[in-house]
Amino acid sequence: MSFKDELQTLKTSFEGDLGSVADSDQLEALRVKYLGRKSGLQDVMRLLKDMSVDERKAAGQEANEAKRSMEIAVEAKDLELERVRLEGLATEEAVDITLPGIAPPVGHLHMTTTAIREIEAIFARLGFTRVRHPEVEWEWYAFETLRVGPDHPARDNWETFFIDAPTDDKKGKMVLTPHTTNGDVREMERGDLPIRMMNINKTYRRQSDVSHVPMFHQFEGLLIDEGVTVTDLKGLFDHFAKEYFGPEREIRLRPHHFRFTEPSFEVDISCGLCQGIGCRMCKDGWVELGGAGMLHPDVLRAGGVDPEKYSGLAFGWGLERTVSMRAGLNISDLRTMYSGDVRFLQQF
Amino acid sequence: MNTLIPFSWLKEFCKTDVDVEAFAKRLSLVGNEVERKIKVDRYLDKVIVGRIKEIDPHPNADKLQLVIVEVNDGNTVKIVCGGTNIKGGQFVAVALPGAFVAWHGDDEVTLKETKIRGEESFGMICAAEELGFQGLGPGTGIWDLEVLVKESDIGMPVSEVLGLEDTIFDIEMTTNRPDGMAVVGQAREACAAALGDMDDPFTKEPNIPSFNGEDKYVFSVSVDEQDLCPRYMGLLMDVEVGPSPWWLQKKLILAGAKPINNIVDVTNFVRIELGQPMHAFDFQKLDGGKIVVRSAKNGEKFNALDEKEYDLEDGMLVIADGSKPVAVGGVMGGLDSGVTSDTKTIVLEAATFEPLSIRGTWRALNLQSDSQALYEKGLSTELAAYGMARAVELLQEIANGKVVSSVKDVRRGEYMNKVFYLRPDKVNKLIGIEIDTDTQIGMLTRLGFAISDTEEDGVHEVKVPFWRDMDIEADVDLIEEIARLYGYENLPSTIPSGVIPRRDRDHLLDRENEIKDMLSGSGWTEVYANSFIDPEDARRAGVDPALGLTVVNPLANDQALMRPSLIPNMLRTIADNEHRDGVERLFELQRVYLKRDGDLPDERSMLMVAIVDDVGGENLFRHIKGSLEIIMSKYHVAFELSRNGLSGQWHPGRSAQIMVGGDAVGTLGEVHPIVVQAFGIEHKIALLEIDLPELEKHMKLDPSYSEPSEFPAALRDLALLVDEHISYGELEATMMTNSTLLKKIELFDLYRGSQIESGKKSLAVHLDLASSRTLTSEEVDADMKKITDALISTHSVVIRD
Repeated sequence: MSFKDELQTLKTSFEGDLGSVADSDQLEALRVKYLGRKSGLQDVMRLLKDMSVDERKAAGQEANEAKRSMEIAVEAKDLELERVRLEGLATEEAVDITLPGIAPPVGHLHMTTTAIREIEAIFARLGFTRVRHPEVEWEWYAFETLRVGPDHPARDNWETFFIDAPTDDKKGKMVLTPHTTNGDVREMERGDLPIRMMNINKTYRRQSDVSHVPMFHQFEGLLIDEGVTVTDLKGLFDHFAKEYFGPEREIRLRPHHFRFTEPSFEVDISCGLCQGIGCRMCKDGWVELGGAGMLHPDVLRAGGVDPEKYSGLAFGWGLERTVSMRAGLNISDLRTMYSGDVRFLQQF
Repeated sequence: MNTLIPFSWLKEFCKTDVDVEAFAKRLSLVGNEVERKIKVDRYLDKVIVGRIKEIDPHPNADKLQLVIVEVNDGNTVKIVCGGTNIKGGQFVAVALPGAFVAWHGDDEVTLKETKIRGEESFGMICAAEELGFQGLGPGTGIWDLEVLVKESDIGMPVSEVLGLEDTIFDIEMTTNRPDGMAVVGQAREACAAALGDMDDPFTKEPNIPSFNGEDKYVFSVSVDEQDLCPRYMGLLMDVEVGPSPWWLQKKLILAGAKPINNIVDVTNFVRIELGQPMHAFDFQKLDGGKIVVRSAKNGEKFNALDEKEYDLEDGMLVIADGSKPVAVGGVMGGLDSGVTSDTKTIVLEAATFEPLSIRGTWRALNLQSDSQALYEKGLSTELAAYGMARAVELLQEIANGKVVSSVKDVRRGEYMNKVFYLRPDKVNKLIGIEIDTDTQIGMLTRLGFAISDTEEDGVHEVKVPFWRDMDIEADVDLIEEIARLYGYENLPSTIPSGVIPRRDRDHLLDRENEIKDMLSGSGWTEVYANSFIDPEDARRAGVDPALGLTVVNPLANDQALMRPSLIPNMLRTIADNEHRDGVERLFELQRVYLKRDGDLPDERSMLMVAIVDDVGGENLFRHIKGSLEIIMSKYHVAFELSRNGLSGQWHPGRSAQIMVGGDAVGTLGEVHPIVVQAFGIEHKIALLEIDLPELEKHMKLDPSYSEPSEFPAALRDLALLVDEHISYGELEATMMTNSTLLKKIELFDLYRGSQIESGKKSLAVHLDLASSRTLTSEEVDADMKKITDALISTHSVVIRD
C-alpha cells in the first residue's frame, strides 16, 4: 500500500474508533493508539525514510496535517465528553438527599439562661445595667428597709427560708431572699444617682406545687431619678410587653398593694391566646404579669436618697412565669424546669 | 382574699344604673378585681315551681321512684326521681327538658326527655346544688320549696318567684383593704369610681337602742388583755330562734354563707354587709353570766363549733365565762355555748382583736373561719359599734329580739382619726399628669376622707375615715387613691427621660455567658439544679456540708443545705438520668454558697462540666481535658496540671488540680469510684470544676497578636515506641528543648496493644519546624536528628519508620 493509502486507512480507522469513544478513558486509549509513541501514525511515518527528499517533504506535510487534524478531533471530543458529563451531573452524581444529616455536636442552653438574656437585652437598650445582688440576705435588705416589719406574714417561717446563722444586731436574721427587691436599697447605698439597675437572680419561697418552685428567678428593675412618674412606669412596661411578647400586645395597670411601693400596681398583659377577648387561660382577656410601683419615700430614705428631690419606680417579676406566658409552653409542672431531666433540657 | 358580693345587695348602698358588665370592669380597674361574675340564674332557665301529686315505686329500681308532678294549670308530668326526702304535696323545683343544670352539683348537662331504667322521665326534680346553690337542704335530698312559694307560683320560673335574677361578683381584695371585703365597702369603692350615689351607713352615728329598764339578768364584761382586744362590746337580747325569712337566707346564700338559724344568720349577715364579725353566745350556758376576755391557760381544752377539741396555750386570746373558754377570740365560738333552738337569751358580741394575735392563734391551732380572715387583716375599733347596731336592728325585725341589758363597751382608749396632708402639686408630679385640686379633693371625699384647708397654701389636711385606719399610713398613700380613681388606663405612657447612668458592669457575667455559649455550642447540655441539696448527697460526694449553709425551715430534710459545691447536684442529675439518651455531656454554671463567719456567704460562680462514658480512663480524661483547653485557649490562659492537693472525691490516678501561675483554679478528672458507687451510678464520670472568679484573674481579654510568618513551615511526622511509664509531657519537653526550629507538636496517634511489645506504647506526632527564613531540607534534617537523638538518649525511645 502506498503512503497515502496507509495514511488514509489510518484516518478512516481513527474516525471510526473516535465515533465509538464514550468516555475519557477510551479517548485516552484512542489518543495513545493513534498519536502516541507506538501509534499507527508512527508506523506510517516510518515509511518516510525510504522516500526521496521531495516525496518526503510532501508526505511529511501530509502526515503532519493528518496528525494535527486527529489531535484537534481528540481535543474536540474531550470537550464534548466534559460537556456531556456536566450535563449529566443531576442524574449521574445524584446523592440520596433523604439520608439523615450528620450533625456537628450540638448542646442546649437552659431556657432560663435564654430568657434572662432576652430580658436583660430589652432593658439594656433603655440603659439598665444588669447586676447581681445577694441571694442569701439579711432581713434588713429583704424586709426591714422595704417596710416589711417583723410582724408581716411574709416574714413568717412558713413563707420565707431562714438560714442557721447568728443574728446580726442591726441587720437581723439571714434569709434566702424571697424577691430581687433586696437589691434596691443596696444599689442606692452605692451612692450614685441616677440609677437604672436590673437585678436578675434566684429567689426563694416556701412553696412547691405544679405552679410554684421553691427556687425561682426574678428580674428586678429599679429606676431612680428626678421626676420619675407613674406614666414612665407605664411606658416602660408598654415597651417591655411589645418587645418581649410582640407589638400587638397591650398592658394595663391595676391598683395593688406592696409595702415598699406607693402607688403599687399589678401589671396585666393582653392574653396572647384569645387576643384579649377572654378565654380559659385569662381573666377577661388579661393575664397577670407581675407587680410594680413607685418606691415608697421611706424606702428611698433607707437607701440614703432624698424623696423630696428624687422619685423612683421598681418592679420585680417572676421569670419562669413570664417565659411560660410568652411561649405558651404549657409546662404542666414548673418544677420540671429545675429537675435536671435531660428530656426537658434538650428540647430548648 | 376573695369575697362574694351580690350585685343587688351592693345596689342597696350604691344607687346606680350602670349595667353589670361595665360596673364590674370599672370596679376592677380601680383596684377591686372582679375575678368572676356569677350569674345566679345560670342553671334556672326552664326550671319551674312544681308540686308533687303522686309517688309510686319504680318497677325496675329500688332507689328510684316515679313521681307525678303538677307543673301548670293542673297539667302533670312524670319524672323518675331518686330524692330521699320527697313527699306528696311538696313544692319542688322542676327542671324541664332543655334546662341546663349542674348534675349532682357537678357535671353540667342539658336535660332531655329520656327513659330511666325503662320508665319515661320528663325532666328532673332538683336538689339545690344542681341549681347552683351549694349547701342548701339535706345532702342527697331535693330542694324543698315549702316555705318559699305558694300555690299560685306553680308553673312559674323559680328564678322569678325567688328573686334570683342577680349577679354575684367574686372580688379579690388585697390584704390591706378589709374594708373592701364587705358589701358596704365595695359600694363605696364603686361610688368613688363614679358608678353611682352612695348611701353610706358609716356617715351616720351607730344607733344602738339604749336600755333603760331594770337588769333582768346578772351580766358583766371584763377585758384582761386590752392589747389583744382593744374593744369588746357585749349586749343581752331575748330572742326567738327559728329559720330566717327567705330574703335574708337568699342574701346569705348568694354571698356564700349557709343559712342556719335567724340568730347565726344575722351575725353572718352583718359580717358580709359591713365587714364586722359578730358572735352570739347562749347566755344561759355562760357560767356566772360573765364574759371575760383573757389569755388561755396552758392545757385548757376547748370544743369549737367545728366539733373538734383544741388544746389551748398561754398567750392565745379566749372569750371565757366564769370558769372556761367559750370562744377563741375572733377565731371561733364554742360548741357548748352556741345558739340552739332552745336558746332564749343571747350575748351579742361585736369586738376588735389584734391581727397578730389572731394570726398566731389560728396558725397554732390550724383553725380558720370567716371572722378570723377579717380580723387578721386588722379592723377598726369604730366598726364594732356599727356591727352591733345593725345586728340589733335585724334581730328585732326577724327574731322578735328585745334588748335586755345596756351595751357593755370595754375599750382601750379614745379613738382619734389619723390625719395626713394632701399636696396636689406633689400628686401631679409623681403621677406625671395634671389633675386639678378640686378633682383630687372630690375623689378623696367620695372615699370618705374629710379634707380641710391649712394655713399653708397648697396643703390640705386630710382626716382618714375609720375604715381606712390600717392601710393609710402616710401622705403618699393619698396619691395612690387619686391615681387609681383617675384611672391608670387614662394615663399616657412615657419613656423615662434623663441621662443614662454609667454603672460598672459585672464582667464575670460576660465571661459566664461566653462559656455557656462555648459549651452549649459544642455538645453540652446546660443544667439548672436546685440550690438546696440533701446534706447526705454532699457527704456522698465527699463535700463537707459544714462549708455550706443550713436552712432552718426546709420544705424537706433532703433540701436542707444551700450547696457549697456543684458536684453533688451534678452526680444526682447523672444518677437520675443515667439510662436516658443525652446524659453524656452536661454542664452547670451557677453560684455556690460558701459559709463565712459573721457575714453573708461567699456566693461564688462555679463551672461544672461532666462527661459520662462506659470505660473511663485516659480517653475519658483526654475528653474532659479538651473541654478545659477550649476555655483556657479562649482566654489565653497557660495552665499546668498537678496531681498534688486532690480532695477525696477525685480518682487519685486520673485527676489533677488546674494550676495557673501558682493558683489552683479548679480540678478535673474522673470521679472516685467510691463516690460514683455511692450515687448508684454504673458509668464512669469525668468532671471539670472551675472556680470562675479565680480563673478570671488570669484571663487575657485583649490577646497580643503576631504576624503570620511568610516563610513556609516544614512538616515532619515522627513515630515513637516508648516505655508506658514515660508521659507524653516528658517527650514533648525533650523535643522542644532540643530543637531550635520546632514550633508545634501535635499527637495524632496513640497505640497500645498486640501489635507492639507489652509495656510499651506507640505514639505518632506531627511536627512543625519553622524560622524567620526559608529552611533548607538539610537544616530541617539536622534539627530532626537532634530531636530524635535526644529522645533516644533521654527516654530510650525507638524511632519507627
